[in-house]
Amino acid sequence: MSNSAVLQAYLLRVCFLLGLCFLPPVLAEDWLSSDEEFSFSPPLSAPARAPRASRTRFSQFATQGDGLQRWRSELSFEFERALKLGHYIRLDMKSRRFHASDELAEAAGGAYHENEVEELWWQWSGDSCFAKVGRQGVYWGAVDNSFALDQLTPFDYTEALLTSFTALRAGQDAINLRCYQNSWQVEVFVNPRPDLSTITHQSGEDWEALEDSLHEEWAVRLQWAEAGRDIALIWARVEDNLPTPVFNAQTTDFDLAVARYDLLGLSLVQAIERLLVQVDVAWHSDQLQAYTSQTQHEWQVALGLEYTTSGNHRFNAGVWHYIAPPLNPGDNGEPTALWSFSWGKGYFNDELDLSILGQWGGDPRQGMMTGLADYVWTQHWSTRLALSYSNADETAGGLVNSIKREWSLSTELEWVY
Amino acid sequence: MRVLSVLLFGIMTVTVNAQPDARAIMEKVDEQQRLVAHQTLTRSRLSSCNFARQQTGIVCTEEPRVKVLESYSRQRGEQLKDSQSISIVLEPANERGIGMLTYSYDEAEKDTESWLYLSALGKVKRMAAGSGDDQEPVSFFGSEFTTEDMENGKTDEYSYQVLQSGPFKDRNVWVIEAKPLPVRIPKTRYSKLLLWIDQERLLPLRMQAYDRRGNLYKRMQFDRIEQHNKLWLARQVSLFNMQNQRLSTLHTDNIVQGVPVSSEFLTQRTLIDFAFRESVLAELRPHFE
Repeated sequence: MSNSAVLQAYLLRVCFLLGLCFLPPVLAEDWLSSDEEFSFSPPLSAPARAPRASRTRFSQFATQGDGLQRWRSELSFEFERALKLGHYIRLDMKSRRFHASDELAEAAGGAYHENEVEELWWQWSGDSCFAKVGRQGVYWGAVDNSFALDQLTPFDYTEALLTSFTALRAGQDAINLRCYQNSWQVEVFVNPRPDLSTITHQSGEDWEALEDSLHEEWAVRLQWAEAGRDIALIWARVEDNLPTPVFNAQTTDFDLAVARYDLLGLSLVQAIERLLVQVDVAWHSDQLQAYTSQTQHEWQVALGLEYTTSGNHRFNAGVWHYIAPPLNPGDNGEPTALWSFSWGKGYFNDELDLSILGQWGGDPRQGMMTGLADYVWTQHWSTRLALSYSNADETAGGLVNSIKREWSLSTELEWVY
Repeated sequence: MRVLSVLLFGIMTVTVNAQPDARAIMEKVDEQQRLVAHQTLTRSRLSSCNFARQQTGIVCTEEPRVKVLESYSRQRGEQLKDSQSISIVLEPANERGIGMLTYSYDEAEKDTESWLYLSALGKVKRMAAGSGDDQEPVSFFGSEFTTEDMENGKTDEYSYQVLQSGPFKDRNVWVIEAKPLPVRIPKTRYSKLLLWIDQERLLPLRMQAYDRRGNLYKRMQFDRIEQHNKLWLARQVSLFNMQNQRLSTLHTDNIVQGVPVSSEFLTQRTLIDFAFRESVLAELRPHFE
């Protein structure tokens, strides 16, 4: 027997005599030993800089579907910074090129490009209030994918709808004043010259004349936040974002007219653990009835549920109840419900974001479902791939290019710096 | 000799177990971490990459993804166990401007509240966060860190035991095992934690977390340890996820501590009133160390 074996046998005997062998098994580990194979020096990189003031994006977008073709390039530039204490400016502008094979270019008779300013505002902040003046978007209402209360900012339907309506919103020139007092907020919005939603870039003189005839819009919003709850009351005088065909007795023909109406609204968000319950209730006065030029008041209600699982899956479901405009002269508007569902989740440390948006219902019937995969390859490059299916009555969605189509596949390559 | 070393360490551990109170140590560690987070503005880089072990040590096998965040936090309540924080993403460019405001409470029945500023929509949205009872940890800005790795003030939800004491990387440490109590189990993905606590500075030098099957799950390494305002903090924390072979490193490039701001700064206003936010931050940033 070797010396070490003798020593081990001796020590084991001592161990049993002292009762130390009943020590917890953790004693088999030496937690203080060196661990050099695990040495790590994080790669050197430049320390965090002051916030960058600008952002530039370039993207190439294509959609191919049943009778649907989009082929577009977009260059956008954003700039924002504090000018001095209490003053801040932001610019967001973009230039879009509609290539010859794009359906909007085909309708326009050839390729063209469109320059747009999405945001250009100056913000001043005082003791407990701020004012924001210039081109901006104002988004009220709590229920995602419904627009019972979200009436102030028009849509740009020349943008492609994938899984978020955000891309479809267009800023307009306005003044926004907001004051804070403890958990209360008061917001005032004035728009001296509202815009209509954009359906095509070749809208024509009649459309522009109609837009020029719109009156100012204003709105007041009072919001307070409690533990787990946000409540808002809204009173507004607004112009509709889309015109309605009405009968002209003089010409015995149909003209386009825009409803000017009062909007009273209540918005509620209640958090119940992982569940968010969202409710928007709106009363719209003087809604123009298509073909008859009569007006009537209307209630709209939207209910949404949003649930985030422990695995960070984001589910959203909602229903928006409103009066659908009549399809034919002599008909009355019918109550209808538009249902929506969305899901989203980030994978691989947010490098891959998957999302789905579905909407169906309404009268005339309309339905669409889009699945989107957004992958970030590097700090600057990302790609998007979306598969959409839409199915609608022939009479539905005449204003939205994509809605009558069936299957379509969209791809986008984006560079951002 | 192996048996001898086991025996000697066993005797040492028995001796140590009789000395320090592990809970008292961890409460002091936690108190210091809460004070570090109180009235503190930081600018940090959060980098993540896949890693591999090589002869020279651990290396990133790809270009790390870097996020730059600016955050202000303060502790509230009698024992500073409630917290309020606001974080704004400065980089990368495609996430710039996203902001999050969070109120979290020590009281288990009280829901965490958070609001997200969606820069694409210019709108503040309340987020569903859940209560302390059902709150499973989620990833911190897409990194390997989770909200559980970042929180403090939860010492009463663990049982502690000193396993060993002695020198570790030129510092005297206690190696402390933390096991979640029943109140903690639904909220954690870890079956136990091992912490190497610097005896003099009362902050961890290393931490290992084990999954529910008892396998090594994550390993954290604390570097660039400095003293600010008489408080010790690690300005570089690396987290190795041993199961998916990814690592994240949180570099605190700039920090200013003990700077109170008006309570209005930690409200929804700061998410949307940029002029107000920049006015407050402009007064704090010159004090960055």
